[in-house]
Amino acid sequence: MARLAGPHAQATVLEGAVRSALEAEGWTVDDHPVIGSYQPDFMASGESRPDLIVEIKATSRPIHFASVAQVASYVRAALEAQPDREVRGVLLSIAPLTAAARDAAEKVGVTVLTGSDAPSTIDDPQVLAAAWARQLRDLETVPVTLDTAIKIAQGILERVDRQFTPRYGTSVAEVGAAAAFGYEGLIQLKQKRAKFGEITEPRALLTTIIFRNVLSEVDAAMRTMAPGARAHHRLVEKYYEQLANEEPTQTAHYERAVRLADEESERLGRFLVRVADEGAIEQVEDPNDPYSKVFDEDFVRTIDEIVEPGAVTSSARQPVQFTATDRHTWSMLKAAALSSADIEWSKYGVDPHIGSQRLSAFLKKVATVVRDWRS
Amino acid sequence: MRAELTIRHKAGDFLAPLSQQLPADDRSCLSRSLLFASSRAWQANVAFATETPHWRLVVYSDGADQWQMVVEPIHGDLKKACGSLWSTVQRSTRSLSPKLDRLEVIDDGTGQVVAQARTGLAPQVRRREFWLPLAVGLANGVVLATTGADTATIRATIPGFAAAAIALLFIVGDAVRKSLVWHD
Repeated sequence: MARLAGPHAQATVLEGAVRSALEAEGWTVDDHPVIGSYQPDFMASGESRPDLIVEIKATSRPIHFASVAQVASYVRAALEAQPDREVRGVLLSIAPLTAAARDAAEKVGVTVLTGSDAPSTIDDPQVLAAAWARQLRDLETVPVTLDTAIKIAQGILERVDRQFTPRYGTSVAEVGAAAAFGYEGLIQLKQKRAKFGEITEPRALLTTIIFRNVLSEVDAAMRTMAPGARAHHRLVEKYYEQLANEEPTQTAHYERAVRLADEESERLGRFLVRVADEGAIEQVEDPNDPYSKVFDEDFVRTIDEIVEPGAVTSSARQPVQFTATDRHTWSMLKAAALSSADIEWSKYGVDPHIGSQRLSAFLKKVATVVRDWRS
Repeated sequence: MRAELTIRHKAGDFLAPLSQQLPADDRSCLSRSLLFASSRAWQANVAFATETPHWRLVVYSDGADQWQMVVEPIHGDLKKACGSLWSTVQRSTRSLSPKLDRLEVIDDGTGQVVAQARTGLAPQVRRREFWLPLAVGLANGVVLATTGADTATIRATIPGFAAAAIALLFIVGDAVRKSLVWHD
């Protein structure tokens, strides 16, 4: 709590009043307890109710969101020390709370009571503290501890890891993040209780919440780290749902869904499966490798031949004809040392957008002719 | 230790020009923060977060024309970081007339305010290092007024007046530039 010379006396009086009010409501109050590296104003504990970590702001300025974050970090430290207890962070403030800060407090599970939350005048610290203590007494409890939530999260993360790693060669779900998922799931469970009232199966709901959070996190990570794997996974989900609807009595849908997704992905030509190959790095061509150079020259010569006017070229599917535009595009690509990004389209009087399209069309034609050339 | 800032401004886009002057938005830096690592919800709820080798900045919207910020030191001087950030805010959002409502350095462990900074003329005048030259200038003025303005007296008071004038220039200059004045 802020203890500058001005508000110091007011803060001390309010602190004393809150301590007395909490004790009057049956809590055992520990003044400035040491929790990890933190020292909040109070720790209030009582029989069969959650422990409260209380921070008081006696200044009249609106609450800064960092104060909310600070109380959340106190709670996290307390839960890490005693994961089997339910601990609630409470911020008591004379000043009003802005809508944004109240929203932040809800999202991180911190209870904020302000002067305006108390039905009486805030001029009398004793009356205000008593009103706050009554409100804290009536707060709901959630019959699931963080310890349980972390175990649920750990199980889900391990399961997701077992499913993803063999297939995609990477573990996007970090089992070490179980504490964070558990804590967040618990907060969301509390929010749902506050919104919908009593929940008959809190553990089942918590499992669903954490599972959704994990999948959402995995999806976000795959979007950037492995877009091919994400596309494949979405296909698996699609086929799994389809198979489950078609044959609800059968089990083994998952393996079949994976197979179907593999087939469709192959048909679409997407790179999907990561294969562990220790020698792969040695197979990557060094641009200075003489073989690579000869290969490139050979490759260029072959394309020169097939794009020549009158050259007879055909693929397995259809005959391929190279136009003057194709030959022009090929000459530009060669001039840029086969690096499409380095082609200066405007220098040749071609709009870059059109140039890219021409290059794409040309390369597709070349691909149909030389598909098996290297082998 | 962290610094909490509250900045108010005229209506307009504040964050876009400011973020252009700062390293790219990187919410993942919140996981390295003692304050914000407690919940992943912060990553979705803050408006902007970034990190330099010296400090970490987290910005939170507190209405249409008000922003709350937190600066956490990594390897560096927190007061210097605040000064640098405040200069960047002023430079990038000059047209919105940003006003520093509050800047406090808070001890993370206890939540106590350990230092505050203000801007404006009154805090600049309260800087004790300028009191002596201003007092000397004032005393010289009193001497001149009471003993008469002969050449010798005027010459003798010139250094005192010069010192007071320089002190005044610093005070007014810093007030106009909205430089931070720290006090514990």
